Amino acid sequence: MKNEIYIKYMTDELLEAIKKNPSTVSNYMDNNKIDNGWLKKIYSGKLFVEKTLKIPDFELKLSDKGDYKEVDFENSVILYESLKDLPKYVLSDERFWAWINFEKCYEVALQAMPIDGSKTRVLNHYLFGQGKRRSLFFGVMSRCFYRVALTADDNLDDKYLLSRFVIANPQRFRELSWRAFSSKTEIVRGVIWAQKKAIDEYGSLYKSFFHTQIAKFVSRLGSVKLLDAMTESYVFQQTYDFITKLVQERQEIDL
Amino acid sequence: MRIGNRLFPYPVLNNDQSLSLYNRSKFTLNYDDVKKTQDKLLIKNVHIVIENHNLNKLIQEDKAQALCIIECSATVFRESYVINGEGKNIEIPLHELNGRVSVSAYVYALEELHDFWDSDFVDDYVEESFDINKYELLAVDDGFTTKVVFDETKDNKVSSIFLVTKKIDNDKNQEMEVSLGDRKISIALPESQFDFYDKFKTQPLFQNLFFTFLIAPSLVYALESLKAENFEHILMEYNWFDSITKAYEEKTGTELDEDELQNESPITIMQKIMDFPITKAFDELKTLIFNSNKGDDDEE
Repeated sequence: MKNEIYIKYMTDELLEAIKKNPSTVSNYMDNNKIDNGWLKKIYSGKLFVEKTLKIPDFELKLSDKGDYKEVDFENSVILYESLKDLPKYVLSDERFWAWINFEKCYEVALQAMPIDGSKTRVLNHYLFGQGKRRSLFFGVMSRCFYRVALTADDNLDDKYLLSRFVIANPQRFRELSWRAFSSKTEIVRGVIWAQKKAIDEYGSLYKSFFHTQIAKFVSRLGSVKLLDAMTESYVFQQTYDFITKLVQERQEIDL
Repeated sequence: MRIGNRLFPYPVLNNDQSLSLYNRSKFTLNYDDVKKTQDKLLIKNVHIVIENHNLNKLIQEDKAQALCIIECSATVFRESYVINGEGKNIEIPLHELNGRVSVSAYVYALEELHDFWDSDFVDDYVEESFDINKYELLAVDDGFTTKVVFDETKDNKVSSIFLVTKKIDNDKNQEMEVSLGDRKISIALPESQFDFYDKFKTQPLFQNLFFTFLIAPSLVYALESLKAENFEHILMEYNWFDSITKAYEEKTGTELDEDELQNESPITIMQKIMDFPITKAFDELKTLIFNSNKGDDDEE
C-alpha cells in the first residue's frame, strides 16, 4: 500500500508575495530549476500549511531528454489517480495548486513549462491569474489533472483512451475547456470521440484549425438546445457530422 | 447556466416577462428554502410552475421535460435534475462547491414537435406554427444564485482580511499598493518599510499607528471602489466583505446593505468598523512622544 501524505496549501502571505514580485520570481525560477529554496527569499515566514486531508504520495516523472511530452500522459494519469478523491473545493483552490506547482511537483512543473523570463507565465500558469475556472485549465499541473478528469471513462477497457488522445495534442481539448459546457463530461467525451473517429477516418484531411470551429459549433448547438440534456452519443453524432462537413468543404476548397 | 437575453427563432416562455414571447403565460422555478447544513447545500421542494396549458400537456405526455441545472463554475461542478412532477429536494455535498452557485430551470422538447403553436404567442408569432427539434428549449427561468464559501481559514475578523506584503520587483517604487482579492485586501509595501512593519507589527504600542498608516487608507480605498460595483457582485465575489458587514452590524446595529454602502462615507464606515484607529493613533503618538521626552528629561 502506498504511503499517504497530508495535502498542503501555500500560505496567503507567500502567495501574495509571489503575485507582487513576478519579475523576481521568474528570475529565481529560471535559475533554480530543481530547488525551490529561493521561496524563503521572497517571504521569510511560513511557506506552506498542512491540511487535514490525505492523498496517496506520488512522484511525477521527468523526461531524461528534457522533452516533457514523453512523460505528459503518464504524469497526468498519476496526478489524476492521486488527487481524484479530493473534494472539489480543494481542487479549485489556488493555494492547493500553488503547493503542487511550487513544492510537490516543482521540478516537473518547470520541465513542463519553463518560465523563460516571463512574468505572465508565473502569474497565469503557476498561479490563478486568469480567474478561477479558466485558471484551472491554464495551470501547468491543474490542466493535466482536468484533461484526465473530464475524459477518463470507467466503461472503457482502456479507461484513459480518450485522455491519451487529448494529451497527444492538447489543442483537441483546449478550445473546449474555456467554455462552461466543458464541466459536463458527457459533452466533452462526445466531442472528443467525434474528433477521434474523424481523425481515424479522414487522416490528414482533419486540420488543426478545426478545433476552434468545433468548440464554436458546440456553443451554437447549445444556443437554442439544452446541452445539459444531451446524451454523449448525441453530442458525438452531431459533432462528427459537423466535422465531416468541414472536411468536405476543405476538399472542395483544395480542389 | 444562464440564457439571459439570447434570441430564439421561435417563441420561448421566459420567466423574465420582458424576454418572454408569450402574453400571459408564466414559467417559474420555485423552491421553499435554500439551506446550508454542515455538509450539504439543500434546496427544498424544487418545482416548476407553468401557467400554460400547452406546455403542461407536453410534459404530461412525456414530449417535454423540465430540468433544474445547478452550476458552480469555479469548481467545475454542473449537474442537472429532472423536476417534472412533484417537488424535489436537491442535496449537494458542500465540498463540491465553492463560490457562486447558480440554480436555473428549463423546459425542453424530448422529441420533434411539428406545428408547435400556442394561442398565447405574442402578436408577431401568433399566426405562425413552428417545428421544434429534440432538445430545443421551450421555457426558461434563469433562476437565482447563491454562495458557498469553503474556507476553513476564514475567521470573520476584520483584521484578518488584510495581507501586507513586500515589493521587491521594483525597489525604486516607493508607492504603497492596494489590491482587492476575493479573500483578502492586499497591501504591498516597499522593502524597507515592509521590514520595519514586520519587525514591529506585534507591538501593542504601534497597533493603531499601523492601522492608520496601512489599514485605514486601504479600507477606505476598498469601500470607495465597491461603490461602483453591483452589490450582488460584491457579495458573490469578495469573501472579505462578509467580515466588513458583520463588524459594521456589530458596531452600529445597522446592516451594511446596498443603500448604507452608497450613502455612508467610506471614511466613516472605516472608523466605525476599526474602532476609530485615527484618534487612537494620536493617543499612541502622544504616549510615544511623552515617553521619549521623559527619557530626555531623565538624562538631564
